Amino acid sequence: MFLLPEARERLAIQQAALLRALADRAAPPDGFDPTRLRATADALARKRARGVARTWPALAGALSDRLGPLFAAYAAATRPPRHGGPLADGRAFARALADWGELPEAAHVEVMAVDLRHAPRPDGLAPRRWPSLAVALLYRPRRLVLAARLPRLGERWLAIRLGR
Amino acid sequence: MWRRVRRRVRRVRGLTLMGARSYSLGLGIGWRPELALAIDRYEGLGFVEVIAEGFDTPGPIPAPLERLRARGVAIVPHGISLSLGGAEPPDRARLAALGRLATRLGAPLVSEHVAFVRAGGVEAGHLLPLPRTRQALEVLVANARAARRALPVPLALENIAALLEWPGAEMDEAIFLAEALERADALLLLDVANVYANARNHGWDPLAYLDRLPLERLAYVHVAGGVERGGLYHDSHAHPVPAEVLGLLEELSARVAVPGVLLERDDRFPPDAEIVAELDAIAAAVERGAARREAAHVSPA
Repeated sequence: MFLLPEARERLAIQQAALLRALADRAAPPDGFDPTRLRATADALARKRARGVARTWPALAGALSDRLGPLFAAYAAATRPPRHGGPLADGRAFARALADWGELPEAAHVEVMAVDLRHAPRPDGLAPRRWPSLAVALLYRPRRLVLAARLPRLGERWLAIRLGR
Repeated sequence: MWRRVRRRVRRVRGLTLMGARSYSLGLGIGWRPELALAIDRYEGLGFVEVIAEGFDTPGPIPAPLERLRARGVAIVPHGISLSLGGAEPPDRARLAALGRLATRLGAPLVSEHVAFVRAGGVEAGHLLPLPRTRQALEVLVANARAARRALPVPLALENIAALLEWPGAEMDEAIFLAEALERADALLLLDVANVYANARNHGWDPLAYLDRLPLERLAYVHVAGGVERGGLYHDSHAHPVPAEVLGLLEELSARVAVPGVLLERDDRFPPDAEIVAELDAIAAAVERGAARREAAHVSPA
């Protein structure tokens, strides 16, 4: 028989090594078939990109063909978030795009909608429990978009046209 | 109205008198926002599954799900992040959230996977297979028991699809799953598409697999589509259900009464008519198997 703490400890080491090989494409642990590992890592990467494209339709639509290469560049440098799944992954992707000056204007409202309901945390997103506000200045057409959310009461969105 | 009440009474009575195995969930589909309208319109629906982690936010249940509940459609939370096969005991906050969701939805049971999704501070974002060793089995059983204790409703465990296998397996997948279910006293959520995928990718016999499982623990069945890519079969949930998967469903139904069967479709959503045709094909496969089982029962040859 095995002692449970021992079994947990050994499993932790085995699973962490496999996950490093998959997430960071580190050297495969002994005994694994390298082609199957690569196939699994590829499937993981595809699933990650598809998840973001599905939860961020406006962002994906605005980037169109550029989504693939831009997401690959982001994903290579960033592990999947620990909280919030594809929604949080997409939020971090949007932040990376903003840093690169590549965030399409059409995605701003989508980012606002997510930020109204979810607060950023170091390892992903967490649902907001308190009232929140979001503001964005958009250019085509030139307008100020305001949004406020009160938990349980709902959201109010307001767009103010600015000049011509 | 009366039918609804009677159905609810039956479900409750089934639970208390005969244990968890007696519910009849019927035909189901994984609830996704993209399919909400098709689901709303499909009359023969007995249950839906919701991805539990998608309902972490406090607040009211989305209106389409409330409508389903009002129709008498059961809702089963399907967890993807407990990591019951992980080295650590399941996270209390995640378990509590899953339990609360089950209560809010009036769910007859919840389901999770025989898999791990995180290790060493890294989130896989995907269900990964376990080493099939006695030690890993020990940990899985301890975790599944802890989950069962914390949950207000029965727990069903699902077999996953995996492209890779761990070296040093001490037993085959069916025995590993069977032992986990018996020792954790959990129900079985059998994914026949995953059985098909693993059998095909790892070269074993799917029927022998079915024969080694404790099918009396069957709570419901998953069916999904997939695609071949680079010589491997990928359980994509984004392509049509192959005939071989329906064949396996029929074989299962020929062996045991199938209490519920659910179609999973997560991407590349087809027109509603295609979803309906797949649901009909699933129901027909279950019926063919059931007819074979009854025939064998009447005249044992």
